[in-house]
Amino acid sequence: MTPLVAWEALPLAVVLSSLVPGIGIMLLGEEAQRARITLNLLGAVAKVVLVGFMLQGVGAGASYAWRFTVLPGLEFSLVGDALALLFVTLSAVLWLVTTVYAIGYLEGGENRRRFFSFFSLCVTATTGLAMAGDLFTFVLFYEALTWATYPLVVHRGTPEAIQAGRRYLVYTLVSGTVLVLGAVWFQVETGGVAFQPGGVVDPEAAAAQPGRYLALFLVLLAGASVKAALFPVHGWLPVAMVAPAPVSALLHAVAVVKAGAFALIRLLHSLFGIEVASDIGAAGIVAVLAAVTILYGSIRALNQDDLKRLLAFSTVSQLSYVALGVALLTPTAQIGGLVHLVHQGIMKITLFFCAGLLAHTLGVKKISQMGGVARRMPLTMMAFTVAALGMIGIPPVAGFLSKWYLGVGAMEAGMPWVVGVLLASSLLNAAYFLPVIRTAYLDATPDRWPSEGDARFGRIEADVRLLVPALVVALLALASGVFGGSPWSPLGWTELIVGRGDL
Amino acid sequence: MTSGLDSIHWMTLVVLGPLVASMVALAGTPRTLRLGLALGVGSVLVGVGGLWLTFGGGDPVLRNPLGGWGAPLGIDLRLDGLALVMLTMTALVGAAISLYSTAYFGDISFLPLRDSPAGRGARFFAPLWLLLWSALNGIYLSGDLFNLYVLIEILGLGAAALVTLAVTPKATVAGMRYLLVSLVGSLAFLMGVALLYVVAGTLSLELLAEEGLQGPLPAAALALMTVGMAAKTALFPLHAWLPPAHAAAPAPGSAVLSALVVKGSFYIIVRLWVDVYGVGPGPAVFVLGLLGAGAILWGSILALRQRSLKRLVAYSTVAQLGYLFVMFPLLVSGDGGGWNVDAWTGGFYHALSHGVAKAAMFLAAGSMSYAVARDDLSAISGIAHRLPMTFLAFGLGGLSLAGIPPSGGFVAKWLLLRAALADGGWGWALLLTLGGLLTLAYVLMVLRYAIDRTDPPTTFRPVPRRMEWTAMGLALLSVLLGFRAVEITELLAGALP
Amino acid sequence: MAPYLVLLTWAAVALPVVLALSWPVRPLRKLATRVAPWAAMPALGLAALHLATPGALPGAASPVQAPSLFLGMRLGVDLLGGGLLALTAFLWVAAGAYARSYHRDDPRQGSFFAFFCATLAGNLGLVLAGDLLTFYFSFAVMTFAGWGLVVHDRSVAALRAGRVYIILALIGEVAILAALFALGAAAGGGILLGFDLMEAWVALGDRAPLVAGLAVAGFGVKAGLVPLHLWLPLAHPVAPTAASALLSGVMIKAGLLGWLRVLPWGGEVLLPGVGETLLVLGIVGALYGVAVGLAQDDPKTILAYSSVSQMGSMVMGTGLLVLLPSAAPLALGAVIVFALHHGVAKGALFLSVGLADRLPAPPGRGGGGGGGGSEGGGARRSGPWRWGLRLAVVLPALALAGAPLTSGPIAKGALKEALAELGGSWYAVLDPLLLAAAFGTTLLLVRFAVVLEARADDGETSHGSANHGDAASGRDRSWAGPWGLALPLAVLVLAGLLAPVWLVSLVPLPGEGMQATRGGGLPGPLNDVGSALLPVLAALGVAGLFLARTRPGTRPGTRPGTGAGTGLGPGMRGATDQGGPGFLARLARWRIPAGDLLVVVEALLRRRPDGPRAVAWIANRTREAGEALEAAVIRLHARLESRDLGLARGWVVGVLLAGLVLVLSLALGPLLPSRRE
Repeated sequence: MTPLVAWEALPLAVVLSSLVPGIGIMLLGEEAQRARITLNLLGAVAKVVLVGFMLQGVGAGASYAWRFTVLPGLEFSLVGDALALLFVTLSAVLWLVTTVYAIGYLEGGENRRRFFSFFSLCVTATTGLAMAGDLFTFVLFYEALTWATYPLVVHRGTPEAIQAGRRYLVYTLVSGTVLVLGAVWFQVETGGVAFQPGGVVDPEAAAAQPGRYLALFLVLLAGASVKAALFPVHGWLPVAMVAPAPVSALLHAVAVVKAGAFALIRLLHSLFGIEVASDIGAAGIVAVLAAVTILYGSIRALNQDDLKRLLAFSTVSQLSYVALGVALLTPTAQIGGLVHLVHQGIMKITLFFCAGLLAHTLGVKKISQMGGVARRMPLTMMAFTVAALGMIGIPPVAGFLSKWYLGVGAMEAGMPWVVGVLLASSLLNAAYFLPVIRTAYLDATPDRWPSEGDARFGRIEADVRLLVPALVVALLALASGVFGGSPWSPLGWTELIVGRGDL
Repeated sequence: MTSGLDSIHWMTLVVLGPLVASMVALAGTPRTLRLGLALGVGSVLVGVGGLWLTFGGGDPVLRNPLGGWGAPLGIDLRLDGLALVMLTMTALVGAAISLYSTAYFGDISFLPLRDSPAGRGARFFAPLWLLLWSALNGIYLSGDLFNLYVLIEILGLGAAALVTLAVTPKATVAGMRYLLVSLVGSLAFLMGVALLYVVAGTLSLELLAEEGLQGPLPAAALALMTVGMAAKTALFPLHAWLPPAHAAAPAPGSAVLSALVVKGSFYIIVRLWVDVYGVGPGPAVFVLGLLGAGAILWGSILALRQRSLKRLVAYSTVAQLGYLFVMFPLLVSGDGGGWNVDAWTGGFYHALSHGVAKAAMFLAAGSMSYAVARDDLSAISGIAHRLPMTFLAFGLGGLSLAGIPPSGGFVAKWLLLRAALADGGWGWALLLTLGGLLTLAYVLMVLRYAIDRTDPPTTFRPVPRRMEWTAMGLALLSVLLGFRAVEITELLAGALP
Repeated sequence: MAPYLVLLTWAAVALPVVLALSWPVRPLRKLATRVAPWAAMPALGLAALHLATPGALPGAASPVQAPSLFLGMRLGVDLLGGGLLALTAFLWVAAGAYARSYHRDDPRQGSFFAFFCATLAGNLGLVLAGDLLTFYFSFAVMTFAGWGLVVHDRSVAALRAGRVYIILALIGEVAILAALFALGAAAGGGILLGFDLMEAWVALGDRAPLVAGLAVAGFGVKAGLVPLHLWLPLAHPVAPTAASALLSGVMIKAGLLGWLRVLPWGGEVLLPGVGETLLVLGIVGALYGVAVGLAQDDPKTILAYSSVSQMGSMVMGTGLLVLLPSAAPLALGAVIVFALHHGVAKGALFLSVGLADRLPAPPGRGGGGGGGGSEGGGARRSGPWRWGLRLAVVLPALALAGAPLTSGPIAKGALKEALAELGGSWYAVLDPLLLAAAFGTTLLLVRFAVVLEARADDGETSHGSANHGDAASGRDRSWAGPWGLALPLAVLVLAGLLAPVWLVSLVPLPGEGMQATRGGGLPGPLNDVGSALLPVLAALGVAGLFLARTRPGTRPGTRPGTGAGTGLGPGMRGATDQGGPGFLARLARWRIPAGDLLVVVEALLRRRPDGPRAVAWIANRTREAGEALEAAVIRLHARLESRDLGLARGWVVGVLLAGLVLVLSLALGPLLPSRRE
């Protein structure tokens, strides 16, 4: 098999495919609805196609890299390797779906120009960050992501939205600054900032002064862990759920928290190298932090009545599966962690789409209002159920595969306590997801819903532009579990990454 | 050396062009005002362009026996990478400011040019500003201390006059205080110069440098000159004059003062410390760094405290100038006696991007207060929806100051951090990081006022598009500085002795 | 192998999956519901082929593979799975047919069959699974889809049962997963686990017993292993009759199959303690189930407890399997035979309960039962139907009790033989206990029969409808109803009758076990009539005596609240209760709430610590601290600003200038040599 497209600058094209629409939309008028939608969809589709070419190419052994010198010794480099593609593909596909959803959700609202423009910029930053070939470029997009997301978080303009946005900024900006500090230190310490599979830190040097390197790692970790919503610094995420559903989907599944998790992966594997990281005890710290976060998030999710808030805490918990997996030494666990990056994204975006559907169609925002909602919106709740079961880790939904690899990997690494954490969190997930499902299916339907729009959707239960994306991602979640064995499934691709030693 | 001859003409052009233009503008009819501005901008741009074309990094110094006498008596003009960069920055920012001012002072043909405050502003801004410009370019290019003294004097007087253009009592007081400080400053400078002349018998920077000055007297001289210039640069704790002054001036004036004028005196300090004295590691640089640190913290915290838009930006200037002085300890921190190139390029890259970004911020702030005819933060609430482009310009400028990528500020921060960490200067590194955060804090404070629409301003005066565009242009420039720094950093590095 | 076999193997699992998935799609829903009852037909065909030509099917040696499904799905029919496949397919078809008419008027018929198909898919998947992961996948699917069957009738009891079911199921899943993680890791990068786990167990070394314990507990939940059986007596009764039959007849065996698949037996690995524990828990369960069951009123609850007790025997078999490699083949055979025998009989009994609720109206109300026996009134309404029902109760009951010439003795005999291998003190203890268990079982079944009689008598009363799936679909008096229910039941009973032949011919007992059972023909009754017959007769005797002495006081349904139907006035009943001998009457009135130990557990759970509140408390404290800090900073700002104005004063500036000059010149004092060399 030979690469169809061997164009070096393909990564740049992928980034531009959403940057151009973003700027274009900003220049367009607020009322140019058709043009805006066209731009959006064109960009999204173009991105998916380009990424498809890259997937095929990398699968065929090609490599894509585009470089541009900013400072002597500092490059702006976009590289499309297998690991980057895992993330890029996720965000590209989910962006397409989310765009459709967002159009259905927000067209007709106000400030659409601003919203969709920054929406595209947000994904631009995400893809750029995913394909960043070195720490410098990564930091660039990492910060850009913060700014591209902020207007989306405060989109509603309500006081609590502003408040949430403020907290989001405080958390992410402080962490970003720390990350810059760490990045510079890393360059001074090791001479280079380019990502390399297996790390760039010289093992001897690290062995010589482990304390120094551990400090360096911790500084970088402090920068990365905020977006990854690790335990002490996760506070912005649950608050940020005041944003409209598509934004939450973006925050939780496509862009921000994923960027954080990806930062951890880069940090552990592409900069330090997992062996060095665990020799200096860094990996252990990450693993413990992640374990604490997993349990903490699940516990906090326990008695929430606000659906999106519950989902937010579940994200806090679920995301640390990734951190936990990639912090373990065994390939099996790393596969589990990596693939959960994708699986969690698909399942969580499904959940947020469904939450949005409920809020948009019936005005149902709280679990206490969800009584019997499955009778009114069966397809929506079907999708919700699939994703929720997946989160708990019940086969055949994708979530189980991640859990399986993580568990086996943890045992291989001789860390039974990790298995304990995983299983405990599964039980907790069940404890907060199953009641929701039970309420939706079994409880009595209220006489009238909080705010049922008088818009009738015919024989379909809700706006098609919202429903179809939700169903699509739900099916994706199911399919990536059921067809986990196929080489083009997320799992298959992850095994390719780890197998090739591209991690 | 043909290129040398060419360079001389260009240098003369960039110094004399604005001077002539200011004379023209002084005639004071609307037409002459425009003509003067056009002349000044044109001549400087052409001159700088010519310098770029003719400057081969090879021979940094070009002696120009102006008036026939060579050193030690004649007037030396010297051009190196640093000077070229500063010239270019000044030219671009100056052009933008000039463009902005034409719109800001409105269609002056209808103004009673003598009596009304607006009229005075319109009448005297252009000549003053062109004078300053000429003085600044002179400072960048001047090769001996006496010229520097003369030019810095012109600079100070012109700047003080610029402050008082708005005839409010506040402005007058601020202007007078500024005048006082700058006079004291130049006095100290003059004493230093005199002392040095007694010791070394020459004032040419080059010759002084070859002297390899040592001992107490030159030390005292350097101290005097430095403190004098520091007072003009508003280095903490001598900064108290700056915020009222910069806040009181009309918007384009504030931009000139904050972005350009303060850089002039700083430039002299650098020339003295690096080129002439070559001050090595020791308590002295540490003192300067300490003052810089104080400036960063003090200025930022007070900026957070302000409720007036322009005062806030002015305090941010105080803070940002601190970075320039933090450069000194980093500069000599390199191992093995050499200069630390990262610190050098980083420091001046910061001066550069600060000039551009701060000008953009002041121009944007000017547009905002122009629109709501008031200057306190509460007045601009919701302005983001009225003037999105101006809002964006202010935001981008502020983020560049805070060192958010991609921006010139980010590159500068990266370089400075690298210099600091290169030999474990953790205190400086943390200071820089903290400074960045504080900058973010006060920039965001403004942005938050601008986006919240709880009580939108009642009166709203439409803002000429030219004002919005010029601010935006500078903001974009400050962002672009973050994308390609290779050439500039090479120029700067080449200027390092 | 022949492609049609491959196709059939896939179809067996795929058909129910497709049907379940097509439910959400409105247009397909009706069709799916119509086909659903027969969803197990392909599997039945597969089973038939397997019986006809063992080994011709894709088996453990040559499984059907789909590498891209899950982590590489493998399906096949091997020795272990074959028998259970037959039972599963057969029972599901019967139950499906039964449910078809049982739920005819059920408004939620559609959702019932959706869950029905999903559960079936899981069940078949785990029987046909060719590797451990497929097995686990299917196991989980069956478990969670089964929840839908349990709560089908949305009554309070059903929801409670559902909650208990799901909680215990989750705990079980977690335990299983933990065990599988360990095995997978020990298998060495073995992400896809086959059934050949022996080296994995060896690799586990001294952690093997722990892992085995996890597996035992995990599957034990499904298998009703005491004390993990709590959900069973709640869930089996409240589910719709067909579902109860499946739960007790087939699904409960999934746990057993899990043990047989995962636990190491046949030698290399010895698990100290595990086998013994299983043996003890088994016998305890066998007796405990009987004891608690006797104190129940709902016929289905009684049957559920009987299941607990019967599973006890199979648990013992499993324990033996693990404990005594030499007896492994025997024990394996015994367990399988027992599972099949119990599945058929228990299924028939459960179905009969549903029929009892749906008996046609007495002739007095016209229509009536098949002409005959129309004297009317009292206990002989609708004669043929009633007698048919009694037959359908007695025959399977006898089989379960182990009466001669039924499947019972074969199973029990096989088990006894296997246990005999233990010899020594174990056997000395177990044998009498087994007798006692058999005795109790008979007693329990008599109790069931009597209760059912009463239930059929007062069919119209609301008896049990509170906690009974049948309430959902109102009484069906049409002719079709009973027939639709009766025929599948009849088929089951018939199968039970033929079981002796069937079992012996069917079960491919490996090794000497095969001889033991085959050679001995029907070992139980022929070899020692006593052990088989005695307990039955004794129990019947005791039961008769007991009933004679205490009747009608203990006529089930005569307890306060349910007694209305017996036609006896309260006063009169009171009198007879006085009349009855105190001890027996008290014994007869002695009741235990279904889900025995659960009551205690729930009581304990009421006082759970409130974690989230503590977390919230910490969060608030931190927030307040942050606000306090902000306030302090603002005050500091204020002070700083006043200082700053101070700096602007003229003399201050002067002093500062002078001071700085001094400082700098001192600092510069010894100027270092120029750095430009």
